Amino acid sequence: MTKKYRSSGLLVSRLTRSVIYRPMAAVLAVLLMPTFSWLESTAGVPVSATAKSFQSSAQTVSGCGTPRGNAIIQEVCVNGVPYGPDLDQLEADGIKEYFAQHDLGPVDPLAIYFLGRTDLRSAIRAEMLAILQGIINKPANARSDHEKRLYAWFETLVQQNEIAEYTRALAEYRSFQHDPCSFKLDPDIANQYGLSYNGPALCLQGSTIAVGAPWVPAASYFTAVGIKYSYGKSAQDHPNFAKLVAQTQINLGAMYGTSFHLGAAAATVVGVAVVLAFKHFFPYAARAIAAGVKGTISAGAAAAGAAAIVFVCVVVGVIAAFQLFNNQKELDQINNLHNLLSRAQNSPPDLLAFASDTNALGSFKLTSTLVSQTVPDIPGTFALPAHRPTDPVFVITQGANPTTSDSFTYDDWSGVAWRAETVRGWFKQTCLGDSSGKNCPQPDSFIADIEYVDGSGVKRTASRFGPNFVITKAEPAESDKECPADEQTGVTPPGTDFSQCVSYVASEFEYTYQGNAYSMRLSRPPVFTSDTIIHFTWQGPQQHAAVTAAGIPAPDISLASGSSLPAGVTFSRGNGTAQFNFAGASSGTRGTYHVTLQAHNADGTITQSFFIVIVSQLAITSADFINVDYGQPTAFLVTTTGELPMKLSISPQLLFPGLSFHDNGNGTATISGSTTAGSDIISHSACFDVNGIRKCTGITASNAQGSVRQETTIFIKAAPHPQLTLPAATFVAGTRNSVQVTTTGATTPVIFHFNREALSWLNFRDKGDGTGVLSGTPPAGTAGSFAVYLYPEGRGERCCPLLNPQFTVNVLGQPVFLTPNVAQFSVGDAGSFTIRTNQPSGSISEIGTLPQGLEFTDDGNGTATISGTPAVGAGGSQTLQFSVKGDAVMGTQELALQVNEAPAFKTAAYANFYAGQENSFPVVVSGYPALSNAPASLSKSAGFIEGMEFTVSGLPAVLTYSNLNPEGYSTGTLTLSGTPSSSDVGQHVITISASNGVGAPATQTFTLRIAAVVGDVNGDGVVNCTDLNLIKASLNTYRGEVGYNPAADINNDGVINVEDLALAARNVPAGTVCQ
Amino acid sequence: MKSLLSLSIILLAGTGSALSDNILISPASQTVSVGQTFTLDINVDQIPDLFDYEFSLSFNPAVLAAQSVTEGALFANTGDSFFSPGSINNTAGTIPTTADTLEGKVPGVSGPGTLAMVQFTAIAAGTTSIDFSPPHDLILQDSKGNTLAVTAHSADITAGTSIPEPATLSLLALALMFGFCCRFRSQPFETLNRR
Repeated sequence: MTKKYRSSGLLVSRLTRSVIYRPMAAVLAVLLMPTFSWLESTAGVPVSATAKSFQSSAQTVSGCGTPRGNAIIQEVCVNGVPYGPDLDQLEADGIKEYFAQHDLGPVDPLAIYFLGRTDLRSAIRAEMLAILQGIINKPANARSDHEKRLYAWFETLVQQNEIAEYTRALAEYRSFQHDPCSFKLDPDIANQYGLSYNGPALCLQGSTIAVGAPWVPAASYFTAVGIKYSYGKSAQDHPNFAKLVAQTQINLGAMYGTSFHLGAAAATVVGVAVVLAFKHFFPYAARAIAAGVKGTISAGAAAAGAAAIVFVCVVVGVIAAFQLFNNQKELDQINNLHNLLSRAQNSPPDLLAFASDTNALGSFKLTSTLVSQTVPDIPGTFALPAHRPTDPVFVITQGANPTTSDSFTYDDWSGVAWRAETVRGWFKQTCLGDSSGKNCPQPDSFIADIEYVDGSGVKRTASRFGPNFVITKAEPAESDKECPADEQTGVTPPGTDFSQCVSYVASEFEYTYQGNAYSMRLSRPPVFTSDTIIHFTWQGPQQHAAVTAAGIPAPDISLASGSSLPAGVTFSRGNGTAQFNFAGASSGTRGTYHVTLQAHNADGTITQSFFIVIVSQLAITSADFINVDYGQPTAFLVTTTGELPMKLSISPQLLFPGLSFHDNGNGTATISGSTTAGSDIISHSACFDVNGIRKCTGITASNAQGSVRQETTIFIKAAPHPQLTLPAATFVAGTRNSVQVTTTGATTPVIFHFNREALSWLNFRDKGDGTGVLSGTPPAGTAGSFAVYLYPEGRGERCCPLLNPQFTVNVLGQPVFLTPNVAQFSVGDAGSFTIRTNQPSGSISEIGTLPQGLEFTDDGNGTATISGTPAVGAGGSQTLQFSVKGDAVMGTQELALQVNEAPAFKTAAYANFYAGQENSFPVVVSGYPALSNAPASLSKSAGFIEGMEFTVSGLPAVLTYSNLNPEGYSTGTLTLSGTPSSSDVGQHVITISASNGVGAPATQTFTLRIAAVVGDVNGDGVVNCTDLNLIKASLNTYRGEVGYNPAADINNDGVINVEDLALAARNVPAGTVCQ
Repeated sequence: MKSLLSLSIILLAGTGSALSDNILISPASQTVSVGQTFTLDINVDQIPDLFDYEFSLSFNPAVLAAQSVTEGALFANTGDSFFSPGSINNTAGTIPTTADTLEGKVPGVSGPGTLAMVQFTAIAAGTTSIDFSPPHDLILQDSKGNTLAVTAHSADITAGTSIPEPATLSLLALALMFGFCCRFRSQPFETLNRR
């Protein structure tokens, strides 16, 4: 069997039925859907509509003897016992299986109850009967509780009919036996069988048989009477009962074909019983229908109802014959009715024997028993929906010229013409009548089956399943065989002799209309039905994405010509469904790729753009824990991989106040803020109990790929413990000491815990800003190290001060210099620096040479003074050493004495540069400080000495200046350098300013003479004797002296000598004679 | 009294070698009569590639009076030199800055040879040394402008009232030769770096 015809609808478990349908039935029982919204849905029926139970559609009412609206099963009680829920379920299952067998998808039962005419309702009866026969076929211990109840219900009904049959048969016989002379045959049975019985003619006066052995009707006559008034009882009240029985059997036969092709799974429900029943009963039922039952019933006469059921009995061979016997054996058989009645009364009927009865009587009894519970039949009366442009159309072929139409007309088994249109998977059919335009069994129909006559005059049923038809022969011959569909093509292979097939599957079938043969198939041009965006996860597992296209026949989906696939992606071509395959792992590259697909079938070709999006796997890549410092701002970035847009959220919440979560909208989120959550909270685990409810804080990332959640733990770390910058301080005895205590490492406010212990002279003041001042005056003579309690605590440390924390105060008792070891003076400014010691009577001596202008004075009382006005040129730094003698030891201190001096230019304000060659001239400046102690890029920062700085203006652009060495330190000397061009020749006045932060900046107006040639003293552009003589005239003169000609100082060294003369002479043409 | 002045000028880097040649006054010792005019040569010996030079001389103006300074044959014979004799100051006893240079982009000349000739007149009895002084005025450079290291040698002049007899002169010459040999030696004087 082909998987192609396996429908999930048929595989719905009984659990599903009971769990889904029954509750839905209960909830929606009161609802009535006034419109046919299911017809507007794209895929059959929307979920909401599907949820409506058949009960709501059927407007059922529970309760024994209560009409149940338009439900098919009208009576739900037997002997006062209600079986409503199980019968509702049976009906729902029947509907569902019909939908599945005709590939109608999850459509709404509304189709049955509001649109379904009698023929469709009979199809559902057949489905229910098949389900019951399937239950009968099951071993008793394999039946579910629901099935057991249905079995009991059905068994009771059959038993009632059996009792009624034999009771009525015996009553008929007793009537005959009591007065055979006046006995009259049942006119319906006599009429159908052509029997006659004239009792008075056989009798003498009174009730005595005149001659011979008594004429006794055959036992089958009495049984027929029994059946008429038992299984056929409903026909007395419902004239169309026989028609319903016949149609149910016919549909059972059609269902046999579809069930056969649907596979073994479906057969578990439909069961072998269907096959048996079909083989034995269906041909007769079809014959009965064809012979005019429909017409008889449609006449509507009350008598016709009873007669019709007898007619059915006849055609199925229920009554073998009618004879009059005089044979005592026959009398004995009649007497056996007593035994049959007794057995029916005392033992439940063997339903399995009924179902497998080869003479079809058992199947008839089962069918009429079920159908009797469905009368009166209440078919749908709503107007049928019309064919829509999006519905399939018919391709009708007569000869070699197929035409397309939204309807086609055919003759049914009875020669009645119908015009059929497609409405989705259904056929809306309108009866056109026979050649006289009459005898329509019903005005219209809404069903997925077509009962037609093929070109050979064979009656068949075509049950639509998708684009194909399951075609079942109405009256199969014993030699006919099943012709299953091919698994690949979904249809019975071409070349099969369909005339000998009980059923087969084809995409088209032949029919007749007005004596002409046609063939018909369904058609619909292709249309892509799947999402055009294909998502693959980069570096994920191997992935597949289906592409679907609808159309009749199913379109071939292929890669359009010229379209290429991205790396790592392959395409599997297919009919109706194709597939993109992504190798995953490390294949491919992330990105969005355009691919064009083509769908083609007999009715057209379309192309569709698809976009393959290869993105990283949706994941949260940031850590699943967050460390937050107590009271400190934090900013944790949640990062992800995956397709954008992405939504990030956190739930249930961040417990710590002060922290917030923000979705940055770009695949990241930020957890930020600061918290001073209670000190007893050490961490916030991902999961915790809040008032007995366990909660997990998790970050969820959601995008088109799905969503992932990462449970996140937030750790609140205790505020770090502040550390004292220095664990000790040195005090000097006999003098007031003060030291500032600072800490490092704290991120929260610091408070100090202080205990002076035994040091009464020691005090500590917490300044409240994380610092404190430790002060005190150790008494003279105090010396040594003293431990005190000084502990800094940061807020939020959540721990106790350490035991006995130690801070050491070292008290110096020996001679100590109390003053800083750095002193500064400035040239030209009077200044004084006092050197103090802790020796009140000590004498201080000095070693080293003081700068000019300063002098040292020992005051003889433990102090000394450096004072005076540093002379010009005294700027600089030097180290002096001082000594003071205590009682036993000598104390010393080195003093860095700095004399600041304002800048002053030391080099000439004149220099010669020459065009076309590299020149350099150092501008020397005195002053202190001149050197920087850090590169210029840093020296602007606090704590650095910038040294001498220069500004220069007026320098030709081609020249540069710098006072920095290669390491970037200021050298104190400015160097002008560069290679001027001939256009720079001339004298340039440059303003140079030097400053070092001391005094006013020094400014020099500098003349830079750029000559065309080395030695061109007079600036005429050449070097000749004139220039040599000018140099000669200034020979042996120095800068500043009379006669010094700066232009003749060719090498700028401040003296004019033979070096300058030679430099010039080199540029004098050889052979020049100068006077 | 005779004096001997030694001067070393260290050749700067770039010369490729560390030559040390002599610049000397010839004759190194001479006795003249008061009123006598005589000429001293300023010579260099094996010096190579000499392009220019400069020197200043000092003497006892109470004994000698300089008369003239003329260019020596070493440069004068090239025909492409520029000579500055300096200015004689017989009051101070100096002849500052006698300078001479070749012209053009030409190679220097090589010694030995005479740089200049200085003519004196003995004006009073006495002795005097003739020195290259001040020392920093003694400059010799090659054609590339590199300073050439030389050792300067002074000269001693004795001016007498009469001309001694030949025998006396012979004895005196022997004595002088003995003394010259004993005292003629070089001593590092000072390192100058004019650059």
